[in-house]
Amino acid sequence: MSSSLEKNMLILRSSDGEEFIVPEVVAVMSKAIKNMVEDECASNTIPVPNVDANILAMVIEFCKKHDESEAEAASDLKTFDSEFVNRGQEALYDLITAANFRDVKELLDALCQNVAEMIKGKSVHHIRIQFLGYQLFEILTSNFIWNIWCDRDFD
Amino acid sequence: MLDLTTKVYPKPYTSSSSDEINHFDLLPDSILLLIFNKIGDVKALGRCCVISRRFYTLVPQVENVVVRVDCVISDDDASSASRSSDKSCEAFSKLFRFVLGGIIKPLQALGQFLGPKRSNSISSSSSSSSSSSLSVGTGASADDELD
Repeated sequence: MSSSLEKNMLILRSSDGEEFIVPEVVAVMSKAIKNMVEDECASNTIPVPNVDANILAMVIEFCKKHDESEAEAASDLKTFDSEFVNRGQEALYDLITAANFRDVKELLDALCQNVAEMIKGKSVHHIRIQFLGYQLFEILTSNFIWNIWCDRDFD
Repeated sequence: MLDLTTKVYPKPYTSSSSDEINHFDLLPDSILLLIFNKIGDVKALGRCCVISRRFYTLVPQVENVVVRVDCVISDDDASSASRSSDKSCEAFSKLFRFVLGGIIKPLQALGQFLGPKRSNSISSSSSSSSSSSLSVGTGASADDELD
């Protein structure tokens, strides 16, 4: 019994020390963890550095949903994905880094798709303000100063 | 090289808006490239090109690009528009001919009545800016009159 538990459940420890007990099928959706498990270099507890508890919980939620609903209709999964990735900038960024770092392809795809939808059909100033955190007058002044900088004589 | 260009570019934003960290500047290039691949649309990518230098260097590396050819319809519209403009041109030229004919015919009649000398004087006195067909027409009528 203990061996089966050991085999089927993994403990993921986030960067701030919280531990999540996750079925192995869910955990191996992350290729990084899968490699660790396959190479048997992982003990029962797998540290997940760079990912804090909040984000790790989100990632696990996503992976669980995908694992459960693999047989279900794809449209359900689509709606779940679109709702899942509909978050603020900061969470989105953290999720992207986590998905990239842990190599969770489905999550990364969904997140990138979301960001792409956000970029589509926006003007340049909108994108700058929204994604790069520029303010409008900063764009104007910086461009102005930059133009002067470029136009000056090198003597 | 890339580091140099990013360092040369003035960066007041990070310092002035330190409360709001610039998340997308922190994303690695590969992720941005993934996002650009998801965008696909050429127009949106073109807009991305002018957002920043980093985007400008990344956008040409995108593999999947979708070009929406909706100009087929607009082209059709244009041709139909040109056709309609042709029609309007034809209508205008008809009107022009009608008006011009209205001017020329009485002049021809006048030339027939007044004889060759008067008709010549009329054609010479008519302003040079008026169409040449007018003078030619009167000239021909004068020749007819001579014959």
